[in-house]
Amino acid sequence: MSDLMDKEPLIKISDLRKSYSTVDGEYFVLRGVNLELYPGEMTAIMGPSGCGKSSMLYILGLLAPPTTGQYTLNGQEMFGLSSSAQAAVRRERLGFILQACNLFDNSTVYENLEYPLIYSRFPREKREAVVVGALEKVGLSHRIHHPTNQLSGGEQQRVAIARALVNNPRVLLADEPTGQLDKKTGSMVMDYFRKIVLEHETTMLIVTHDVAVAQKCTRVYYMREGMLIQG
Amino acid sequence: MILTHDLLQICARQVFRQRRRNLGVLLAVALGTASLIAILTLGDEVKRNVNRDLNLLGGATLIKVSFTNSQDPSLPPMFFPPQAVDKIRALPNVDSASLGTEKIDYVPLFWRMKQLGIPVSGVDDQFWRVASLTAVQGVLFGAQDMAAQSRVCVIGEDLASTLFGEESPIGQYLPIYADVYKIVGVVGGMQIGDRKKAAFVPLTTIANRSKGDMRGDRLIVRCDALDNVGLVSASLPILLSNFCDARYLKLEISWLQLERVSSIIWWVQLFVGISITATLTLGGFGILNGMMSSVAARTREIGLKKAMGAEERDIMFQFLLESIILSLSAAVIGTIIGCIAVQVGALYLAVRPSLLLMLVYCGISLVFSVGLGVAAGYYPALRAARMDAVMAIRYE
Repeated sequence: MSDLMDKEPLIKISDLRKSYSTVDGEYFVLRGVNLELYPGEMTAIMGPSGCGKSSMLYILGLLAPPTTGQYTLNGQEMFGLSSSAQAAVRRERLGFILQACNLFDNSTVYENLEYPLIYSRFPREKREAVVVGALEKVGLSHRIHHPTNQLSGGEQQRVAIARALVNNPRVLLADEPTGQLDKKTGSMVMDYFRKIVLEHETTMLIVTHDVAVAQKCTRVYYMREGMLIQG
Repeated sequence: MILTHDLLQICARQVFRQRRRNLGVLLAVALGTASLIAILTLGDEVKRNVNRDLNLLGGATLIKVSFTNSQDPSLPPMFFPPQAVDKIRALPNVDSASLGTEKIDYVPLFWRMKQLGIPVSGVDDQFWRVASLTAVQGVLFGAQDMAAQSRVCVIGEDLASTLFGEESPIGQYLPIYADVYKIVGVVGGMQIGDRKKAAFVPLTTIANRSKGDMRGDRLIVRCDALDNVGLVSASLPILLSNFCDARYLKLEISWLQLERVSSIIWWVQLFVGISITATLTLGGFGILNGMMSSVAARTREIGLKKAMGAEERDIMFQFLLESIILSLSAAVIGTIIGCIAVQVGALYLAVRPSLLLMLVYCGISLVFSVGLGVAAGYYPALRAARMDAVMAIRYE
């Protein structure tokens, strides 16, 4: 842990706030969140449903705007970027892993992994090698041309992990990645995460309510009423 | 923006995988396109057929040109020179033209104990075509007989019966004035009318041999289509003024008949047009509906794509192109069906539609289908592009 802290933070969030206007007045989701995430670190954010942990993840993933706050990724301010530049950051530096059922319908494993490469205009002739490489990391290279609906829940989630890794992102953002998996498969998926983070110096933020998942992370935070408390 | 060939591949794959869902829409647009090509390509040929049939029934596309001075003995006789007829035949929208005698000579004939008066006309070899007359026996005299001033004649069915009864008139001789003419054919046809009792001799022969002045003073011009009767009738006096005194020209056109027939054809075309437009519009609404439900069904996919770094325009172009590919695929199928329908229709109607015209209408149909795809797919594509990414990801 102390080794990590010696490095420069890859992600730095200061006074992040998010609120919604409702008929009953302003509803505050995030109330001044401060957080630093380092390369090679797996951070878990735990908390009850509706506490704002997923909202924070989507704000860090540049999919939702905050109300106020600063967010720097590798020293670059993110909220001031145009929507096109934010999309480029998502393509090149971020990888998302969501709950199960986040693969495209009526498609093969290869097609799922090809999409991030298509959006980043990766040369067509080099794609297959990259896809195979990403699938090897999760032990599914032999399933490359299988239809995704023929895979088990665990395999589907491993495909989703491979898809998030295919562009070699610096940051992995995971929202309940083991939420719909059994305990054994969930544990296996977490082992994959740990291996990837350590091997590639990736920064990973996991939003979960599963204690077993949180226990496998470097740091754990709890979110209560829109505030982060270190566990 | 993603690479064009990637975009095309993604969209084509998606349309192909949803082919069963889009089958109804595909068929509607395909049938609309096929009808459009078939009707537009065969339309002119069908119109010509209608004109031909109308001509048989009443000659709505005929223009009769003669001189008004024929009843005025103080004025010199006027005639149309053969060069004028050639010029008229070369006019656009003229199907055929025939020169003949306005005057009909009633030739007295004492025949097998009967006193008869036979109406005799001098006509050229184009008369049969212009007047829609056909040979019921023998042949109708042609250009060679005209050039050789042959003493041959063609007689009407009634005259043949009156003169020869059950006996064949072909090869028999008919005395007209001081000459005898060999009967080469008996003329009939729906348009025959009073001509059943007449005899027709080559204009060149009778002009040379008759006692009276039997040169060509009557033109019959047949237009290629109803719509062109007005145009041709306007150009005739201008052209003929180079050959004769246009002040004395008299043009006879069945305007009322023409107006009625044009009106019927206009209504038929209108209803056919409405039917095709309705089919294609319904097809367009089908695509719109299909794309809207596709956007709804693929909400989570849209959210995931945005999370992967897809920009709004990537999503927009994907859905728009899917819509275009769908309508274009339907149009391609429709074009093939349309081309087959044109060939079958051409065989049935015994016409030869222009290949170039068919290709032009195929091209127009394909371009139209792209427009239909854009119109039907634009709003769903815009909706997909502007979808909130977080809401889309969380969509169940």
